[in-house]
Formats: sequence, C-alpha cells, structure tokens
Amino acid sequence: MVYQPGAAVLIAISQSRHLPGKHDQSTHGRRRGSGKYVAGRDLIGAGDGSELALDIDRNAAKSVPETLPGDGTHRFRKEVGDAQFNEIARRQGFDGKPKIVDEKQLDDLTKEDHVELFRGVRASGFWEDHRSAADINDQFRRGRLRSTLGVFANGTVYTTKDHAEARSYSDDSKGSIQRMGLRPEARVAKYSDIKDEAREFASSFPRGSIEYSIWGDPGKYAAARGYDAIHIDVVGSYLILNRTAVVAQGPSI
Amino acid sequence: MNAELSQRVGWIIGTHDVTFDERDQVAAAVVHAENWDDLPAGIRSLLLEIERRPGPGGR
Repeated sequence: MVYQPGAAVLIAISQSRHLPGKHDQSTHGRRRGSGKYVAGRDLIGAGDGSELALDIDRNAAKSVPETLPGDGTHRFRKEVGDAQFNEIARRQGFDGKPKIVDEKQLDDLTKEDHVELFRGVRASGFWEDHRSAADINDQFRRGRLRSTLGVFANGTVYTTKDHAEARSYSDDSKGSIQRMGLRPEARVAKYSDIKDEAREFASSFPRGSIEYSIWGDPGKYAAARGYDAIHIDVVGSYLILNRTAVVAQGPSI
Repeated sequence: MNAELSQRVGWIIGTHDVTFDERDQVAAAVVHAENWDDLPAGIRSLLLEIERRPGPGGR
C-alpha cells in the first residue's frame, strides 16, 4: 500500500461523516433509557427533505449485509425489515425497548389511560427466519429492531385493538400474541391525514428516486416527523413506529 | 385481512415505489381478499408489474 499524505485524515472524515468544525448531532442515534418513552422530533423541519433522505439511505444501505435474503438492494432485508425505516427509528430513538410489565400491571394501565393493543404473529416461512412466534414477539420486546413492510405503510409492528383479529394473524401457539398498551402521551397520526401530507411532500421528487422511496411511504414520513404511531382508521389497526411508545406484557400470551 | 396475503403484498408494496393511488387501490382490494387468487385480476397484474420495477435509486 502506498502511503498518501492526508489519506488517513480523509478516511477518518469519511468514516465519521462529520466535517471538521461541523459536527452534526442530528445523525447520531438518541439516548434510550431502558423502558423509557423517547419522544420523537421533527427531523425534516422546514427543509425539502432531500439531503436528509440521501443521508438516511446511505446509512441504511451500509447497515445491512448483502448476504441476507431481501429484494436485491441493500434497503429491504427480511432479517431487518426496512433499513431506511430502521435508520429513521435509530435517529429518533424509536428503536429503544418497550417497558415490560406483567399482566396485572398492564390491566391497570389499560384501565387507566393506555390503549390496549394486540399483535398476532406466526412462524410462517415468509420472513425466512424459521423461529417460533414466541421468539418473534420476544424480539419485539427485548431484541434488535426489526421493522415490517405493510400495504398501508412501513413501520415497526402492526397491531389491533381486537384480540380476535390478532389471533387470526397468529399461529395460535403459546406466545404468539403480544399484548401491549400505547402510552397516553404518544403522538398518533390518523392514516388518511398523514398519507395526504406525505403525498404532497413526496410529490416534488420523481418516482424511482431515493427521496421518493423514503417520503413516498407514509410510515417513514410520519416517523421522521416524530409521530409514535399511525391509526389506520380504514381498518382500525395501529401501526407502531416508536417501540418505546408502548408498554409490553412479558412474556407474550 | 388475511395474514399470508398481507405479508406477501406488504413486501411488494413496501419494497417498491408506488404512487399513493396505487397504494390505495391495492389496500382496498387486500382488505377484502382471503388469498392471492381472490384479488381482482387488475390488482394482481398491477402487483406483478410493481414487483418488476427497479428498487430505490434505479437499482
């Protein structure tokens, strides 16, 4: 290897992504207390979202090993879900863990002011991880964030207020239903509203662009605006964006 | 909504650029379908066409 003066400095700068004297805190993940609610911020602000989207995508692409099964790009892999969403979640602190409580504690919280929600999962082959439903729910409570890709939007997990509906999504095995409560302080967007907002915001970017791939998804757009969840009013589901915005019963039922 | 169908269609929609109108059309159809064959032929064709689109940034 030929020594090139200044090369080490350039490598250090490119790896840190911080220009000397311009240390940008917005690219850092946020502090996550164990089980503490982390409120989101508006990452987009008054900007057009172009530079932010490209930066999110660069980090997303770097975060995912090419060897994982996915769609052929670096962004969507079944082991991690949507890496662009994960990167937004990381920046917001939404990838922190939910507070874990027992059944009685969650009973009390949902009687008081938390919205009771259920998530049913199954050990199907689609996500190619061949784990039990209980293990998938355990990852939601205690493991690394794995996001979901949905018809309405991408996000962390789809949930419902209806236990029977959650059960229909589950494989009925022990631990296949995750019961949780959405915190009363959570910022919840109505799907039809946030979708219209995302539609308008994304309209300035051509389809096929990196920017459209992020802002054209209502879930990634809402997470970047600091929302904790989306109420999908047309079907009555809640798409959780911020994992710290829920209190989860452990173990799953 | 059927679990297997929503996973399959969610992956197609979630990994490709779609217009908001396309997303609405697909969502409305998936909510009422029990499986892939149950989807209207036009929606199935649309999903197969979406699946052939390049990923973000043309890749």
